[in-house]
Amino acid sequence: MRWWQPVLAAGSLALSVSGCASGPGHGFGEIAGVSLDARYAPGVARDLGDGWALTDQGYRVRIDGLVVEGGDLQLEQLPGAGADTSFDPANPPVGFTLCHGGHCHAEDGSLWTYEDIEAELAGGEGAWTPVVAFELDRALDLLAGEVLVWSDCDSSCILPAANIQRVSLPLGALHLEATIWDDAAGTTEWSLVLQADISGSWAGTLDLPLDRDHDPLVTLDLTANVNGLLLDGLDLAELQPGGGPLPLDATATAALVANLHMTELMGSVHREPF
Amino acid sequence: MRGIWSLTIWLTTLLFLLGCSAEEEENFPLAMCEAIAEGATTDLVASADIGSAPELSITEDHENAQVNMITGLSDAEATYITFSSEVDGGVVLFADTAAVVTGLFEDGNQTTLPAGIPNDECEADIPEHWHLEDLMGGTAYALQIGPTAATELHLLIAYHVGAHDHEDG
Repeated sequence: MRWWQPVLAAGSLALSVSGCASGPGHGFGEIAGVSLDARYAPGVARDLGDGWALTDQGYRVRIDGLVVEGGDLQLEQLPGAGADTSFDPANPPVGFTLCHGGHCHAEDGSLWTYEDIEAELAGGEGAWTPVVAFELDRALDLLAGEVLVWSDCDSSCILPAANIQRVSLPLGALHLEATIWDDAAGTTEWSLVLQADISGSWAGTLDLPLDRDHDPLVTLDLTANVNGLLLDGLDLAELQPGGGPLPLDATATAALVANLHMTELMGSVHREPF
Repeated sequence: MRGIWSLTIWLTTLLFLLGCSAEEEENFPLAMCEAIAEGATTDLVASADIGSAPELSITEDHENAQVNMITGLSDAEATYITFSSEVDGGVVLFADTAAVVTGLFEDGNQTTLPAGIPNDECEADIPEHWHLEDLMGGTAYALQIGPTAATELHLLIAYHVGAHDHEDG
């Protein structure tokens, strides 16, 4: 046997084994697990202690119940991202003034992430396409806090090449129970029950390319903290007395929906080789 | 031969200088993170009356940024602090607590405070920062603080570096 024959044999074996490891069956990425911690957390600026929080209009609020319906969690990408939808932050698109640090200032004062602008350029909110989904479709008790863990995906956890840039959780109805104290008026406290359709979603930015340049095995930890700004912009005195679910007028509903949608899904991505 | 040695020395010197200048290029948002993390250099007590509110100094030397610890906050009413830019242009405001800075006044009239966002370099230490653009030199501005349950706020206000053509947090 020539000296190089064992070397060639070992090399061939190594190549075929590595070929198997990165070949069919593993795709370009695989979801090993996803977790979501969702809860109400007033935050330092509004937390008065003992369950009470402050609103921007000076009401003191104790949330006694906060449940929101959640749809299936989705990891999403923009179709054809990078071609027609990319833009130069040094030359902001029409309607935007300044871009920096991953966001642009719109002329109306709102802030947009680069990903949302790319989505707008691609055709709007509907342009986001799910790459993989995780079944939820149930009510979330945000006052108690929910820790959800998925090890299964809706279809397959083995994923094709993609550039996942967003995670979203569709929302349905909101049910809120609270006790209100108007400190300025010195009124006695009253209870409040609100129900509203808050169609829309919580969303967050992700940097999760699935390609041959990144480790393919992905674990994703998400948080969604609904903060003490939830009832900002609402004149709660107009919503007393309690005793049953109150219909909100369009302005109050819009404020509540906007406040709830401000909650960002914060994601932490961990990647490993197979 | 001497020519080759001279060229080598010149090239080495040039590369060294280029390396130094690249290394010393300031990371503005990171510098602000470090300044906030080091703690307050000045204490101010916010006032419920804009007219008698204390004035913040705007940091020019980012290596020696002035971090203000604001106390006198109230959960019953808004309080104020003021600042005044020496020149027309923009400043950047950094806060160590979210949802405490709630408004902006120009010459006593409320104007739009843009949405605050985290500093990408240290979201936990600076959960909100604002780019306040198009300020007029010599004009009195006031920041509304609260009403808030927070008892103190670390605030840093600095002249902007490098306009908006870079990643500035």
